[in-house]
Amino acid sequence: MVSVNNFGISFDDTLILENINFDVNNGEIVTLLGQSGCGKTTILRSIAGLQREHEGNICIGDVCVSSKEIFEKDREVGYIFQDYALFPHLNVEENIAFALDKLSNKEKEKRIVELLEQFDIVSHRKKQIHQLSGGQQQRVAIARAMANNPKVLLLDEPFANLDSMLRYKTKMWLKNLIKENNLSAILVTHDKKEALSISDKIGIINDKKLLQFDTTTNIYNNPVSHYVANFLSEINVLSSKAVNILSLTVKNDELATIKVDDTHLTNEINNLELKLIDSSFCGDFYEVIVCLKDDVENQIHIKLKDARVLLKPFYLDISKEAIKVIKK
Amino acid sequence: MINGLRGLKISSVIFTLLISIPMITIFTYLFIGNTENWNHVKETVLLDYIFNTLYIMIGVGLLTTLLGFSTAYLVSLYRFTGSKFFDLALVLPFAIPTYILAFIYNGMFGISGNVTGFILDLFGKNISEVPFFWDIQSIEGAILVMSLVLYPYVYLVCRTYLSFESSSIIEAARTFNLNTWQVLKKVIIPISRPAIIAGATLAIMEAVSDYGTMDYFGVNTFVTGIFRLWEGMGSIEDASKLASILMTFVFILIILERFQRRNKTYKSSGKDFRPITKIQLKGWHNNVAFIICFLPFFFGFLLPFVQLIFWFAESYEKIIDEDFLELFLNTIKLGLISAFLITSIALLVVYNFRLNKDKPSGTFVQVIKLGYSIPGAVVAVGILSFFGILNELYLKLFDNSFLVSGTLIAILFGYIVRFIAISINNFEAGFNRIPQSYDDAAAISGVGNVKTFTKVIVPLIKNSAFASFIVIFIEVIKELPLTMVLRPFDYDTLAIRALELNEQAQTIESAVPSLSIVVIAMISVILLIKNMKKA
Repeated sequence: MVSVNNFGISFDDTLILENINFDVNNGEIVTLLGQSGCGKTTILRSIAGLQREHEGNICIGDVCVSSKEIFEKDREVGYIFQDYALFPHLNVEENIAFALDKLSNKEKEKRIVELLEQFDIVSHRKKQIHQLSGGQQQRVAIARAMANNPKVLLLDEPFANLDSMLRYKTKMWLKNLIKENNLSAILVTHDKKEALSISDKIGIINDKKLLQFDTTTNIYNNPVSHYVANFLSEINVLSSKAVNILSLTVKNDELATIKVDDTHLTNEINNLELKLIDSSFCGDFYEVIVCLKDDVENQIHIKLKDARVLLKPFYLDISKEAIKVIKK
Repeated sequence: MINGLRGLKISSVIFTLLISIPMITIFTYLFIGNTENWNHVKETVLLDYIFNTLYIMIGVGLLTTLLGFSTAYLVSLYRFTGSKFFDLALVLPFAIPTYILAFIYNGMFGISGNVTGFILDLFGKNISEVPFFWDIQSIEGAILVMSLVLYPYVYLVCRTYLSFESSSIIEAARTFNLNTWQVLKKVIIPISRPAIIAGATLAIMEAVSDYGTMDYFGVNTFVTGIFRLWEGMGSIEDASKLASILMTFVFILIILERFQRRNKTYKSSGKDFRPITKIQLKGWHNNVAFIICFLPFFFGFLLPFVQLIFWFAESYEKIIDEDFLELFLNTIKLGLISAFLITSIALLVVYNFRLNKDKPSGTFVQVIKLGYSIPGAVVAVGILSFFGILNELYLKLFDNSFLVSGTLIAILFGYIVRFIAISINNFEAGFNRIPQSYDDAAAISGVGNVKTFTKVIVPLIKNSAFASFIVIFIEVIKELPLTMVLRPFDYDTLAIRALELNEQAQTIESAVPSLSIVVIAMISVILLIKNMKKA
């Protein structure tokens, strides 16, 4: 288990993160989601001990690693770097053996064979890193990270260098690996689909803070703010005119939102007559941008299966239950 | 591990302090009062020094730019007869020290040169009957001679820039219906300006530092002035004062170069540079390109090299004896020891910065790098002054004197101060290619700093270390003013012997040490280029 308590960090007097709190249980995958440069990787580096000057506490199991001078090697973490960080002058076997420095030659050989078999890279044992595909390189990187049986696995954008087919396969394989080994895994990404599909819990970071940390379904269905909602799914913010017509109660610091997937059009007359701004064919659907007839400023995005609805006067068709009032 | 880091940092601080001492010593002389000698210099030759140095800076800057940029442009963007050969051959003038080219060209084209004599004989005239004769032993001759061997600085920087970094910009320009001249004028020259100025600044600094050519051609510059004050008048204080003015001059040049470079690096937007697609030249275009590349190669390397071989064949029996072999070995030993020492210290300093990444470590690197911009004569005088001050202190404290000046320690110290920047630049470029995640991965794997260094860093940095070793070796073999001032009594190198023989009007005999230097440097340059291609 990993506990991050009151974590904060500054670089050259610039505050990067403050008051970050979250726990990762054994066998759990937590994803830290946020835009590039928001400090996600800094949290991983601090847990790994690569960044030791920070505020707050980081505990791995029962040991508060940041309160004692515990170095990288003693934290029992495995780290998968975004660029894999495989040493180009060593072959596959030597890269894995690099992490097994403390073992005797016999033990080392035994462990290497185990890892090569476990990660299905036996046939690549003597190959140089540049001779491997992206997926194979990633397996070598994970084998090296797992060599010392870590309790915690830290993954920095692990799928960034893989194509979409390989990305899906690797995601499932990695998820099983983490569950089977009962690891606490923390993954960092800016890809919301990736986060939603692999994680048990998600933390959204923005403007130096952890805005929301919750289970995947909770955070998706009950976002605490407009930023979180917008980050995880495509949403429309209803204009004050639409709010009045629908007789909704929305306070000054709140917004009425509806997911794009829950926003529909109809030719049946109601008070929400729309005007077409733009439409484009996207294969499975039409992406349509509309606005209320005399409210051109506020655009509404809609995914339309059948564009014939646009041939006659059309109106907004939404159910009040799908509307969520959230903090600005 | 923390102790290891601290140790590395402390040694890095000690080296920085040591290396910056000669510069600081010289700088203090700017503020020290005038002596009688100094007043004399000020009233008689100081203006000459300033004017000549400026004239040389402008002349060498323009000529090296013309030769270096035109050849780099042709070799990078076009295929023509011999273009592959010129790619390597145009770097070869690097192997010939400026002063050796000066000796050779004076021996060929000077008033009593063999080529001059041959032409005069052909027309049955003597020198007094010729209406116009341009004497190569002049400031213009010095500019020409130096530019012929210093243009590779501009060539190399522009070649790399044009071949790789700017490929997409140039290829985009070619699609806009512009002719070759318009692309050159509107795109290639403006985007290459920072590269041209960076290369030309290096060439200018070399020219300003030169002693051998200026002394031999009788041109009064700051460096010859420093020697005159130190050797002729025996005044280290006045030599130091003159050196401090030259150092200020050089710093202004560095500031100007950095100022022009500010916000002006034009690079392709892509991370991975793709080499440019070259255009095949035909007909007279092909011939003109060939001639433009052949001339600098011919006059900068081939002609002097062939002449040296002829002179060598004529004189080697007279010159090669036990003494010569000893000074040959001295030179090689000095080169090898310096190259090893400087490469090791530079690696320590740069690796310290990579590990510690703090502002002081970054400042150490920048301070040490200034050494290369300071002429060898200034460094030498700085070291002499510093050891002089130490000696006086020691004498007062222990009633005894200690001798460092005129020992191998002083000479090695001088080389470190002067050349360590080259090595640091090599290592910085090398370390930039090693992602920080390699160090992190090693740390998480539980491997100590020593094993990370030996198993990860050393194998990945060895090409940079080799390049640094070779470049320093070449520089030390060619070096003249610093060695002259700091060498132990009766300790000669090939460069000093070449100068001495020329000063005694034994130009043909001087070909033996000169050719030795050129051949050693040429082999090193070829090794270096092969290493660069491998990397």
